[in-house]
Amino acid sequence: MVIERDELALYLHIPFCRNKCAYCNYYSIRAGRKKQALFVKELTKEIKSRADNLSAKVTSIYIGGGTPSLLTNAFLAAIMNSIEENYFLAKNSEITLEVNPLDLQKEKTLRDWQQLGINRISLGVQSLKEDELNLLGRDHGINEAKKALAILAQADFNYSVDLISALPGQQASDYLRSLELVLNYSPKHISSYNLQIEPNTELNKLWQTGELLEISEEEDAKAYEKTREILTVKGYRHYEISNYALPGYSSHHNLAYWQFRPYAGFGPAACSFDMKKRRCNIADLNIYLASAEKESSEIARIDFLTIEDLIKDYIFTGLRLTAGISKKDFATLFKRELKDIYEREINDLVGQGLLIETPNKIRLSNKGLLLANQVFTVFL
Amino acid sequence: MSVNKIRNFCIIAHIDHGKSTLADRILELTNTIEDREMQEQVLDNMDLERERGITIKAQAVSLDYKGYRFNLIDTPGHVDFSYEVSRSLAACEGALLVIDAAQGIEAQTVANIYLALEHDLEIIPVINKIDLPAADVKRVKEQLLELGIDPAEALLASAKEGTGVEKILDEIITRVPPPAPEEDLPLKALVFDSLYNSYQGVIAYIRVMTGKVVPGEKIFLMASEKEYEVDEIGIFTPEMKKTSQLKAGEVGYLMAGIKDVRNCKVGDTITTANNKAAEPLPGYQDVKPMVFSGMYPTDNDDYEVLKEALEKLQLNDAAFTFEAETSAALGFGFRCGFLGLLHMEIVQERLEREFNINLIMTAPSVVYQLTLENGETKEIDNPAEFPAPSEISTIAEPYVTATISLPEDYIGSVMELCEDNRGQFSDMTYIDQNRVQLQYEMPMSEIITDFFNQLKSKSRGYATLDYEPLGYQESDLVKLDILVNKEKIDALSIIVHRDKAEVVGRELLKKLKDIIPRKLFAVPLQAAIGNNIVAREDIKARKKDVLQKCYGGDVSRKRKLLEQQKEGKKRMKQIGSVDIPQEAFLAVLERGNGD
Repeated sequence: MVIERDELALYLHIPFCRNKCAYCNYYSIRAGRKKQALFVKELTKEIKSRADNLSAKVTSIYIGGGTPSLLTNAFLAAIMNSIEENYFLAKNSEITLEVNPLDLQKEKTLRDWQQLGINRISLGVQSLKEDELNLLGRDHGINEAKKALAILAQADFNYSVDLISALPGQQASDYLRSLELVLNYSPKHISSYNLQIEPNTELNKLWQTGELLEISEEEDAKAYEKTREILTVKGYRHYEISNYALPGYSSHHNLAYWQFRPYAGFGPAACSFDMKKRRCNIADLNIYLASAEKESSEIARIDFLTIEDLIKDYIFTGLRLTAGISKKDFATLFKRELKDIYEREINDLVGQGLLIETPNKIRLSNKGLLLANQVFTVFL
Repeated sequence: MSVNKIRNFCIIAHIDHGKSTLADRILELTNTIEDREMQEQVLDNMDLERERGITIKAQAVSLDYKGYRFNLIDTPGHVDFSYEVSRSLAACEGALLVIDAAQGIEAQTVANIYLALEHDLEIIPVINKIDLPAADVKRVKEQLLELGIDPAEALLASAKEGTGVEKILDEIITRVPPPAPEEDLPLKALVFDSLYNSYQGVIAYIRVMTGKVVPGEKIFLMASEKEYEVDEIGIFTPEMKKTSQLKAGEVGYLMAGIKDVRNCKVGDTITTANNKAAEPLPGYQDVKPMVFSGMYPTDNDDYEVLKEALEKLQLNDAAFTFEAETSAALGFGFRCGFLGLLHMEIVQERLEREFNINLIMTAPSVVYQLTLENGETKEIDNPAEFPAPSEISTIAEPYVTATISLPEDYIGSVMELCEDNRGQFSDMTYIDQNRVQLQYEMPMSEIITDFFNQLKSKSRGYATLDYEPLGYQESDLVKLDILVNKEKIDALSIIVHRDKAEVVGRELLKKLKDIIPRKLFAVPLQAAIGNNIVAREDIKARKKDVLQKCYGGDVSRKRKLLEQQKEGKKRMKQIGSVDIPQEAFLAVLERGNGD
């Protein structure tokens, strides 16, 4: 596959939630319509002001957060318009909206989004067990999730479902039941993550008190292997460590991160990458709103990446894809041979059965997928 | 200045009772230090001292007040340094006894009061922190009475707010006696502390008891039997300020090109080489380390760096000893001796901070006296060096008298704790209506595990501990070996009482199981006495280790997380194919999480 590095992926961070999930440490706050309006105004300004530096062809847009689905159609329309006015948007661009099931309880809602150009939905289901949803601090129940799934299935929409495994005290079978239930609605894409207890979350506080049950590495591994088995049988392709898609439905946007393509992020906490540096807007809505007329450096942290940083990032993001890293691609991009830098490391990992090397590529083995950090750290 | 105008005094206080703050106020009030130079707790020089709120090295400062010369000697505030405290007291005629009005008198303070009385010091009780809502002056006065100190003589102060400080200074003039004027006798100067500086060599902190000393004079150190020529003498203001002489009654510093603190130890007597005093000052002891631990660089390449760092530290700390040792598991390192656990922690922290060396330290050990079957006797401070059980006839271990003062509500749980740690009850007295002092005879080895932490947690922080050596007693002890992946890790061996061996072994393995990171293969852990396996646990093979969620653009952050994971591995010691983190070697310290 030829990777087009003059394509651009756009990410929009909508920093609002009705409720903070217990596991989530992404930046979001509760805010009323008035604040949302201020934000949308500022966001469209950022989209416009940075357009001068971003002349490439936009091939995907991802409206994430936060809970972007709680924005009114008028707000979403304003955002979409500002992109269309300022960027060259390719035909067939993938335009994804991240959705909380509570916001998709009527068929009309989906039609309205479609009208705005949204052609892909990422639905945050996480689990179809009520007690698990409570533990995760989700604000919806399984009935709302099923309703949203039914609407998407009915419309045969291009949509993805997020599920979380490896909850405290969870057996692999608990998780697999949710997965089987979701499969009844034939999503085109499934993202299956294990729970990470992140700092500054409600779940972490509970974890520190020692009141939560153990998270079993064995059950986690079992759930992972079974997921792969079940989904493969159903025709899904396991294309990234945590992602599965029916043929033709891989997330074009997320592939930008793993294939080392440039992306531009707008809104607080959103990150951008132009093959040289990474820029992340400061995760604070008030700073974001106050900096309307100021230089971007006041709202963003910028990491200038050395060639070594770039190589490390390229390897550990690229190896996330089951297709692996192409040696030729690496050589084209960095003007150096992969094996000249990492011969010993690659041989060791192949010897341990964690990595597979072919004449053209390196990729994680099945065992390596489960122990990917052990592989990545070797390259750092 | 006439000897009659000199007042030498120290401050006795428990940690946190406000000693350093009071010293700061005194410096301010006597204009010894300009406001702009004022830094909280001026006398505590090391960062470590300021952070922990404790004094490790003795400090001295000369100040002028109403025509008098005050020499304030700040003493270390921890049981590990009680010998240094006694030498500081010997340099004074008076002591301010600072007591926190809310906390009352603590066990260790009591020990220091007795020490001060032994040295015939005039004691001025100062009840501090009277501004606190919980202050209970009446109770403190009752405690003083119990100790045979007239509560009517107590002064009230709040060093923090500066109230009562002037009164204290006035009372020092009237109540602390001036030194006896004995200038005509041969020189006797007490070394009450010393420090090393790479330019000037050893700087001795001295109190001249009789005679006088001038630059250029040949001096003789009576304990180390070394002769030097005095380069410089002076006083502390608190910076060092040269003077032309130091005479009987005065406190100051002396430099004589001494290159090693071990030749100028705390408690030594300095006299004139050609007019030697007949007798040294009383009370000199060659301080011996009580606690030993192995110190190994995490990275073997750092061995030389560690050696140099230890040499530098020793220049400044005569109580700290080290010698090279090797461990089958840890490679080349050093056996280090310390006065106690705090002393050990301080050395470890200084090495990591000042010299930036990653260290593996093995669990601290006391010195055991062994009698072998062949009649030979041996002193061993490293469990790894214990002979096979069949070769040992008897083992004796050091005991201490532990004095614990605590509110009576916690007597039950604290007595239970002492008994769990093989303590034998010897005495209980009431300090006041609700504060009790318990005495136990305990093996020192039990004290140097996490006894102190458990004592604090069982008494909600209210109990205080003081201990002094009591000599050796025979005990039924065994060496417990730990095997990781079937390989004996000598640095993890510990000495335990036979009756506790199995329980300790099991607990230790459970902890190691959590501490030692899982590998791609299963790793058995075993505890053994000789060839007899008494406990076993298995570290399961690593099944899954993957950062699953990785989208969103902040790839730099994800890389940093992975780099941290890698960095964590570097701080571990690779033994065979297993990585053992530093905590594993100290896991033995934290016995049973309460129960």
